[in-house]
Amino acid sequence: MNGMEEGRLVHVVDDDEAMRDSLQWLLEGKGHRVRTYPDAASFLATIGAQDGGCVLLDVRMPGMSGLELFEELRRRELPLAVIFITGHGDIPMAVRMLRKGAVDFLEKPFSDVQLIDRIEEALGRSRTLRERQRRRLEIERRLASLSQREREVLLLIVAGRLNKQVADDLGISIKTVEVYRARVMEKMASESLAELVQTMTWLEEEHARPWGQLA
Amino acid sequence: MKTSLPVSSSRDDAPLRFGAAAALFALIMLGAGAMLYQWGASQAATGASAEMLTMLLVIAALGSWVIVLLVRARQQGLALKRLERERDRLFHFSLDLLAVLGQDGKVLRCNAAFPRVLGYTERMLQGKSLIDLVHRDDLAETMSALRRLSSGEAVEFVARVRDITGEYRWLSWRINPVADENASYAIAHDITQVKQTEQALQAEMAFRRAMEESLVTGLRAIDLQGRIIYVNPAFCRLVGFTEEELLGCGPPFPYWPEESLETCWESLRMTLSGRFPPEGFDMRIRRKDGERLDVRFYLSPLIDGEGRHTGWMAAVTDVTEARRVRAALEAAQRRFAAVLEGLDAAVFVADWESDEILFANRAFKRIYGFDAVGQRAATLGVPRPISSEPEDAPADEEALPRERFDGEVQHPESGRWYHVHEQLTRWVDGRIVRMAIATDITVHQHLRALELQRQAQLQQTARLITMGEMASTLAHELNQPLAAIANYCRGGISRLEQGRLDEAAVRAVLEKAATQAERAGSILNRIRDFVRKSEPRREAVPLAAIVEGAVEIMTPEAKRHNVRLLVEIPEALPPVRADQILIEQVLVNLIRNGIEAMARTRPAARQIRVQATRPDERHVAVAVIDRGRGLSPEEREQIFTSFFTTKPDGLGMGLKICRSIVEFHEGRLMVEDNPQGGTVFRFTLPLEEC
Repeated sequence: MNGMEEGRLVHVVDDDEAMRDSLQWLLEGKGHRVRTYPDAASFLATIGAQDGGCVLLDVRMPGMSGLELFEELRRRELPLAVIFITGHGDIPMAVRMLRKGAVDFLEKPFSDVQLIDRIEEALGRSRTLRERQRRRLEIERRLASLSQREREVLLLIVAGRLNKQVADDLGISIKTVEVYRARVMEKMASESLAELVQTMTWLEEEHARPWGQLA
Repeated sequence: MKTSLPVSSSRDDAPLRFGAAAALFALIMLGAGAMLYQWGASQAATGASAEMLTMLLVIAALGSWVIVLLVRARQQGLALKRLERERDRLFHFSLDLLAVLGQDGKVLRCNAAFPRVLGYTERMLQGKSLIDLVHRDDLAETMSALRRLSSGEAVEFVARVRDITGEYRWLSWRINPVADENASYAIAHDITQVKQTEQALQAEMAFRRAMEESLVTGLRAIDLQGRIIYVNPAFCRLVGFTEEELLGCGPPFPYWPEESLETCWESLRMTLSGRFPPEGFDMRIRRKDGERLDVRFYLSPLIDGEGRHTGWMAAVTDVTEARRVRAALEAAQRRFAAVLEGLDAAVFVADWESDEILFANRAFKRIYGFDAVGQRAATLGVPRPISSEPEDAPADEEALPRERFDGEVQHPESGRWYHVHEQLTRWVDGRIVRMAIATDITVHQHLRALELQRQAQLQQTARLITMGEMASTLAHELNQPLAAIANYCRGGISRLEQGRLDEAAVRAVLEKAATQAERAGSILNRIRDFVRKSEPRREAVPLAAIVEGAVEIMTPEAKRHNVRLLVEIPEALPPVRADQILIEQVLVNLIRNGIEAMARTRPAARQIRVQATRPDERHVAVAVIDRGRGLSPEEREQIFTSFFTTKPDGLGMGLKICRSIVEFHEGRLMVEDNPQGGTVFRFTLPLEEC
């Protein structure tokens, strides 16, 4: 599937068939691609680690409830954005879910305009999450390609050590350090030391950031 | 002894007669000599025989001499015989037992004292040894004595000898051997009497000793000068001094504590002057080890055998322990009283018969006055719960305590409620009393009434609540198809706007939307069904059951307000056709209104009658009649309108709802004045059978 289509993918998880069907009809009418799942298990079985998109999640479902499914998605750090749909409002629960990274908590009946707005926002968030995920995975892949010695050199130069100091630290010649350094820059696809430092800092921040948080 | 006397006297005369006969014979001989002499002289004249005459005279003289000699010898023999007889008499008449024993210790002879003392005849004793007769315990000593005897030694010993009846007599023996006679002379003295007296004395002494030893009361005698002349072991134990240390002591006595010498001197002076109190007096003494003891002295004069007053006897008992016990008892009593006084519950004890209050704690006095003790409980207005059992006076042998009452009682004056637990029990002096503990449960009672009321309300509204919950669930369910329909429609509109409408798709979606609308409809039907089921259910119910239910709910509140609830329902009333809970609610409302209307009525007059009558064949009328303040004509006009109330905290919905319920039952709710003062609410209900 192309990126554009993938970017507009909406997953509907609801045990009520009429709800699934009518939401699919409505959202496809608005130009979204819709996939429906009758329960949490079938959704988890289908979804891939890098699949993005918006998830419309019914709170009350037999088997694994919407809330439990949400926790599972968080645990797996999937680049998805979740909108809860519920028959009756429970404000404390809604607040809790929003804090944990849900996009919204919609009470039936909701207006289609509101729903579409929320879906657009969710998709945007999902895209960001996917991009970050992609970048993170790219950096991690490159890091993984470094040899042990190259990794040591990288950590030292990112920490601000000069070549000579690195040579002393590792007990090798400056010449050799220069060779390693050039290889690290190449493998990490960094033009400059500044860029390398920025990349490594971003990765560190990304690891520390809770799931679903954009900033 | 007397009977033998004549015999012995005739024997005594014998020597006399013998002497007389000898003298007579001598005279005859002399006479014969003289005659022979005369005859000789005549013969001499003849000159024949002067020599012969002389010879005759010599012969006569010789004969007389012989005779005299014979007589004297006879007389001497007689004297000897008399001596012997006297000895024999002594032997026989001796009070002591005398016996001659053979070498082997066997009795040869014995005197009359033997049969007298021991009952054996001489014949019985002859040949018997002492050993055969002595007490087993004295056998050894006797045998050893006899052994010594046989070696020629005189012996003395005491041995008990069995008499003919088998009893033992104490005999003190002295036996002297007579070597040349090969016999021993034994004297035994009966000392049984002495021995018995001695034994009795010993027993008496031992008894007195034992008594003295075992006495826990110390005894101390002083002479008239105050010198100690006697102490018993108990006294020695008490003061810790020995008898030797005390006897002969004069005041100050060693057991006087130095800190109270003055008191002791005073006590002694009091004693010696005889001015002591008959119930005794207390004194502190100092034991030898320094310990102080509180003792009580009881004094009496000491009178000797001749009736002389020789001193003062004191009986001394240790009262330290008694005091300690008493002090402990008093402390316990104080604690007990403190607990009783501190109780929130009122406690009182009243005589079963006289009803006199014997004891009351502070809580009781707070309610009934601080002079309650001594008064009659009934006079004070203490509620006397009526026991379900007959009120016979309890029999004396009845097992007490027995529970008499355990329940709730209202104080007629204050209207407060008490949980009263009353027992019949025996008071300290043995009379039968009722002992009651009353705990104020007014608050508790009030809470319970509220609880009952709330329960009644809950019961009434339970259906509404269930209906509400159900409706909420159903409404939630209704959301589902409505949301789906909205989605289908919005989706259609979107496609319309984009001009990409596929006819077949639109038809399918409209179909789906219609299905969802039907689904919503069926949900609504379920709601309606439910609501219909919740409508009042009228069925045949006995009116008495409805009234009973309402009265039961309202009884606690009525009691709390001192209102009597009277129910008058004719028997053989056909059941009414009604929803029991709703009509119960109407009655509860009317009764509560009645109770509240009587807030200013004096307690004794507060009553509500729930009266059922049958105005016609098809209806029953139920009247709730109070004796309250009544209603003004204006109030009566407005009373059934919404939001009208005469009560400060009323909502004004009660009577309106009551009327609706009654009317739902095809009845009427009316209000009238009670001719006796107060208001009558009356409603009618149709009877089931009509």
